[in-house]
Amino acid sequence: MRSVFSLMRFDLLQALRNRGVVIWVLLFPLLLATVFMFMFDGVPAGGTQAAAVGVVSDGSEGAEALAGALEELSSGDDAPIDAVRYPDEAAAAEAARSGEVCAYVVAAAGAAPRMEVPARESGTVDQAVVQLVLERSLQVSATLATVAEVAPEALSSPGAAVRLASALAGDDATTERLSVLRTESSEFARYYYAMLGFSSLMGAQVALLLVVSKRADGTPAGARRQLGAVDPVAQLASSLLAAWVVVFACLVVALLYMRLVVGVSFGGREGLAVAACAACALVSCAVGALIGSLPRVSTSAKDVVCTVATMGLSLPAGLFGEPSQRLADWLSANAPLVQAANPAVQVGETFYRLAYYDSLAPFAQSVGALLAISAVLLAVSALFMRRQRYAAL
Amino acid sequence: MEEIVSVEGLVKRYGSRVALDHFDLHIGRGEIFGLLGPNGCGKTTAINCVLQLLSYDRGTIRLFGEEMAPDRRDLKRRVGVVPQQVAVLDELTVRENVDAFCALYVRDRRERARLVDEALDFVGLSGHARQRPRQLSGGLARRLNIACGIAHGPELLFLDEPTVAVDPQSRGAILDGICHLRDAGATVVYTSHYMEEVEQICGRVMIMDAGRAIAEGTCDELKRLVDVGEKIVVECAPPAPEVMVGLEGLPCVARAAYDAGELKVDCTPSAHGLVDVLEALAAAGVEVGRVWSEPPTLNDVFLELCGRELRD
Repeated sequence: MRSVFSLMRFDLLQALRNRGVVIWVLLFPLLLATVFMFMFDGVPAGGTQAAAVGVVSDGSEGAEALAGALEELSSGDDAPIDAVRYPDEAAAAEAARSGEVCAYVVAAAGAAPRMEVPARESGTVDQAVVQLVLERSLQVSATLATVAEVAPEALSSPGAAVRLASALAGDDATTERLSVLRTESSEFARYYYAMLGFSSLMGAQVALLLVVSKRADGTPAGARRQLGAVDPVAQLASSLLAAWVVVFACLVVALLYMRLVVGVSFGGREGLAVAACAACALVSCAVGALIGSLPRVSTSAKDVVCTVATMGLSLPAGLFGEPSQRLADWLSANAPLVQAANPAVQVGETFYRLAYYDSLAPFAQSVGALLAISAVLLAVSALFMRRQRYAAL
Repeated sequence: MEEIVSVEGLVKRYGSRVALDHFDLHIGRGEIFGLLGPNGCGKTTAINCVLQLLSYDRGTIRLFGEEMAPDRRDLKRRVGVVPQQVAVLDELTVRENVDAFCALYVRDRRERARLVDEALDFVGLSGHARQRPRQLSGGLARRLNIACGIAHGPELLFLDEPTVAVDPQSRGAILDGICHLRDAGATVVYTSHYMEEVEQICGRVMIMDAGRAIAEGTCDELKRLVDVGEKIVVECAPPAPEVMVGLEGLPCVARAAYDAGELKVDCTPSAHGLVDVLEALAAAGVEVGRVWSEPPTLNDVFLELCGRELRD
């Protein structure tokens, strides 16, 4: 064990002074997180904007009540619609034609409210939102009318009609709001978690560099090291331990940057997030060790394999925009085992589950999956290394 | 003399190709032993087998009187290697490199610091201790390569072509250093294609070809093995054919040829024919310009034994 720690110092120096490691393992995740931060800045979290709808009222009591209700729904940060009043139907129709509003509602005394939708907006989400809001408003009006006719005493006291209307209009009247997530979800957080998966795999370069530099068939210095009086297993152990320390430190730096600068939530479980980084660093070392031990592959080809594996495994983790997220969702639904065996996906899942799930069991499952993947990869690489021990050099 | 390296009947095959064919090697303590041979003759394979970097099909290898095996780290601790290529770590400084390789043999950090200082002094790199290998010239990099191999004070040192691409000054320093190591008690196995170096420092020499030892002995013993003697060169006008016949008829002359204003006479081994040749030329009325004579070299022996045709 003393030999391992004695050699580890040189492995750490070798890794930390390697330009590729510093750029791709330490700096690149920070750069990518910064790019994401600016890219997502200003885009609403829900990903949709309030649907603009024109309102035309003839000034009658009933029409004004409807117009007022629609305007009320336009207030607040997460308003579903943005009601815009027009003096007459012609002006509203012109606004709809020009695309200023997606539809307009005409309210007049003695007639049911009418919604006009330009052909362009037919079937769109905005049109559906406006239609839903209008139908809900009409339902409430109709319910109040029915109550007034059947049980007028319910509306006898001052303010009773308002309270009843408010109760009917609110979600709480008919629906109990439940959340399966422990914190409010953000669709952008998924990118950051996928980015941590990507960073973990980029970290495989460290183990690759250090393992190859200990292999007799990897580099001249590797051959020279194998001639030394230290057990090759101890030499490889020092490489993997040093690689783990470097990748773990880089992931923690990325995590802190994402939390403190970018503002990504880890559900208030930052301590466990750091622990998750330890598992991610382990899987990173295992990937690097496996690639580093590939038989009959040159060192430069191993670098290429590492880069291709990083990009390829990160694709179904949903890092590269909506198409890759759709691929991730499709694979999760149709090939869950493929996703479960993908370390980049598992890293993203680990942080997602940590941040959003009440129970820590799903998080523990993901960490367990990472440990299992690491164990398998390390076992295969050990097999390769054992077979190469006296191979033709 | 105590035998430090003993190799008996070593066979190494790469598929159907035989790289080492019942190869034997015996080296005594305190020797500088030259291992020569054309490219691909099996020198490096033999060294790698001795060092257990390569497996082999048959044979026994003993170092310091004990059987060598991949896990004999007690024996490996007493061996140093300076490989053909500069095998160092680009990310570490000169001092850290020597320290890193020394750490494979010596655990104690304080002891190592002393050994590293000594090794850097020995190869004259103390002034470059904080530089990275890429900042060093070819000669300095070679010296760093040597420092990494000798820092732990090995009793047996393998030097595989350590002076390739090195200027004459650095080469002289390296050769002096090797002799100094020998004087300090180390046994050295030295491979090189520079015959004059081998002749200069090696007490005994083995010439290998096709995976086998084809000759072994001191340089003088090797020279006596082959049909090579003194070479006499005479600047003169082209001699008449009967003069050439007369020269070749002399008992001390093996061959005579005229080319580009020079008459070249190869004498038979152990013969000194300068006087006889000059007398024969004078008797034939040939006017002689400059005359010089060269004793046979190891290079002549090498070419005689391994042939002059090009190898892969």
